[in-house]
Amino acid sequence: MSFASLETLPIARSLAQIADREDDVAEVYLERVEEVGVAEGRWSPGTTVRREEGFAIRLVREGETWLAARDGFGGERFAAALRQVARALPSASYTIPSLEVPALTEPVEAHEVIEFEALIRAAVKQHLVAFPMRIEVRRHRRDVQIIGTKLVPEGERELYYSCRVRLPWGGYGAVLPALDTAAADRLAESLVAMFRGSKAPRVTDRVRPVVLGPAAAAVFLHEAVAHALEVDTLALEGSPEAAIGLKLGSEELNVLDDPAGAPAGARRTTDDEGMPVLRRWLLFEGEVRQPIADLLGAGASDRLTPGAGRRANRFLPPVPRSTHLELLAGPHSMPELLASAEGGLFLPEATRGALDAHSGEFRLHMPYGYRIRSGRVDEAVGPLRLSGRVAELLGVVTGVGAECEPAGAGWCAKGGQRMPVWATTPAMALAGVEVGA
Amino acid sequence: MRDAERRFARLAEALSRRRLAEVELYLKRGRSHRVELGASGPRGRRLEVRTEEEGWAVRAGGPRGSLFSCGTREPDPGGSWPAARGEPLQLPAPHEEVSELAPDQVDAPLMVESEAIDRLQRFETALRRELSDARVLGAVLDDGRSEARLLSSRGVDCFQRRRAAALYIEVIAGGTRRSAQLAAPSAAGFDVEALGRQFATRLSIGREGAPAEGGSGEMVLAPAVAIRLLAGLLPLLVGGDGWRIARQLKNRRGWVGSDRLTIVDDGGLAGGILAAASDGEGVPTREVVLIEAGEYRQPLLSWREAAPARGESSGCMLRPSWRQPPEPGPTHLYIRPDSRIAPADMISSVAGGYYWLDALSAGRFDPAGDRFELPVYGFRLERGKASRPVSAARIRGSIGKLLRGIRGVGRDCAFSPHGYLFGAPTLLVEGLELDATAPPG
Repeated sequence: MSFASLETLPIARSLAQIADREDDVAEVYLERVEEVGVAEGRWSPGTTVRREEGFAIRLVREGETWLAARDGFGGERFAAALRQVARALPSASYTIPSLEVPALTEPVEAHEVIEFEALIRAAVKQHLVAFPMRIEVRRHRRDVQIIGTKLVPEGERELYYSCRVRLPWGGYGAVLPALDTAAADRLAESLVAMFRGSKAPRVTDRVRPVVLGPAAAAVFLHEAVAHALEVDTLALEGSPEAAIGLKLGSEELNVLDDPAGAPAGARRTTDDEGMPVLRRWLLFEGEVRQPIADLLGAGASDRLTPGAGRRANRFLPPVPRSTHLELLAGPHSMPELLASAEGGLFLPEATRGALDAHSGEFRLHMPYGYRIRSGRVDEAVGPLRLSGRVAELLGVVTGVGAECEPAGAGWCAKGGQRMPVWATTPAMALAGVEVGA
Repeated sequence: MRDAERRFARLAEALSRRRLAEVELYLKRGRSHRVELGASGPRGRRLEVRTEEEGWAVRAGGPRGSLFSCGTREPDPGGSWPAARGEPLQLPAPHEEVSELAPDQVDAPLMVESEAIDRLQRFETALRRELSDARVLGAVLDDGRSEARLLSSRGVDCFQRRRAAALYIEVIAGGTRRSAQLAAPSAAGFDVEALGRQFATRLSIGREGAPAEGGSGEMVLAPAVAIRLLAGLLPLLVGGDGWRIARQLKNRRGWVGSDRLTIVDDGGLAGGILAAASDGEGVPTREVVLIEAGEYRQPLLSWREAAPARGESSGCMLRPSWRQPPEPGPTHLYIRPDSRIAPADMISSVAGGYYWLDALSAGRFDPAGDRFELPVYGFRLERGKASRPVSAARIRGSIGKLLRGIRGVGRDCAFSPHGYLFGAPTLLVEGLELDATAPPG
């Protein structure tokens, strides 16, 4: 771990100088990021490596935040950043910590990244189709250490992969816990389905029953439950605590956010504010239990629990975000879900979604889908979008599938902070959703 | 930036031993000060962020492939480098005529916290003076400067200094929301009181206006709407595909636009917010006319694209950060204003039509398919005067007809960032369709 040798006590003492009020929150966030990638394309260098590191000092006082961020480490940088967030001259002087972190000396190696590109091409070929595609694969590694005035949790490491494929009819992206043949096969299946969907007829605009496959259900829940229950979203329309106890949907909707249950490389025990993460019930039998909160959002409330503060990088403050969503299995088999949506659509995947925090309206974009006829998945349809208001759509969930699987992992970019999000979900059926081409 | 030449020489020597003859070192450092005011939380929210960044990037390659490596610690010539693969790398030759531009306010101090808060509060005061129940949902003022040095094995040696500020505003009143992203050479360049009044007008239209009736007719497009149109035309204007799209948009006489329409990109635009003498590869910037009096001249092309794409190149490889390799793109892409025509004259010339003040979203543009639609709001015009506000409408139709339907170009060119920096004056257009099914406000 990058920060194992760091002397944290002098840093905590320095922080205590600026956090001189009882409710002040002060912390140092240190990060080291390595991103290794391969890409194809006219402007893309064949291999890319980014190795960067730095820190940020944050002071939160009475709802206001001061943040000073620097590239690199070192005592002088630390002292200058500390002065920038301090609200007054310190009453006592401590020795400025050295904040020296050993350089990363590991060689740049990422064979799995290079090999994955070939695995995808081979897997697509197995489907006996061919189309032009440009593939980008990256390995992401991030070491994080939080040092507070009272708490110094263990450092955390995240290691995962991302893949982006540019196709003539659009792009496809995925975040992956590992690069192996199984991952390449799943990705190839999606690309081939997109290819076929691009040539399939479009649906006409109307309200229809739909069955969302696990990957599409994950994106739906990310927009309709996770973003809707983040305290910064809730605070736009009033007190976040007021949401607790609201009935949002069917009793089959049991939704949790559990960062400790994420895939191995992305699993966290503390968040980016150094707070322990928790298995957070967002919806219990369709009713709101615990909104997603960070330290600032939880404030002095005894009904909101922090532990979901995430930051895309040191230059941005923490924000309340989900990490790993879980929809608990329901009682329905897939044939039952399909039978309940006769004449509707089966939508296995969503490429992107967006929630308007003020109106509660959101949209999901699906790259392809299938008609449901006689209780079975039938012919393909082209790209479509699904839209509605959060409260209405959660209210028309009619069934949750019995088989959960890790699905729908991707990038979330709410508020300009780009973070990986993970999910484990079954399929789900909705009675009537506005579907448009 | 100290010892840049020595550092580069060591690096180039080490990489040449790996058979990477083409080597480029980019060093950049900058600082910024951002203040955000938001409405979330019972007490409201205030955030102040000061950042200091310093990083480097190396591109290297040869006929067998290329690599890009970047980081914050000093690059170690003898350290671990990724294997070069993929496309070969060829760097541009140096240009002697490059002389650095000196932006006016680059050395002036960045705004301080109290100054930023004062500006944002003055905006809110001006807004509420006009519309008492309006409130600011979010306001972000960012002021920054940077300097960068570029050296290459071809002999390129450039130094750039930049100063720019950005302002994002989002306001609400009675369920109507409006937002805008603006850019200026420094934080002092924003007239926040005028902005407050403008936003009050925009909110009032949303609250008091009615949806438009369908039909067509003359329409005046304010710069904010014209900028959205320009942004939607990017595939026509940038990159080798532009030729193919232009062929599809031309009419029988070979024109893509009316004789009033001239579109230009200029990386060295005098007084431009992002003006620089050279681009992210050290190639001199210059003015490139893409559409001249309605005739398609060429797309914006980098030096690599110019020969195969049959056009003249310009320095248009953009490098917003040391973290990404340079990519082609426009710097100041704008519709050339006509200094003889006042926007008010265009409005007063309309017997019956609309004046669209702003767009409600980015809209949908398909230049290759010659279709577009853009949700807008503004005023109904009758006998040259605004007769009633229109809260939402959708203008749509053929992109070719839109460009050829431009009957007047005003003298008021405004710039706004939408991924890239776009500029446009007020336009008088005829032949656009107006969709009666209004989009959600």
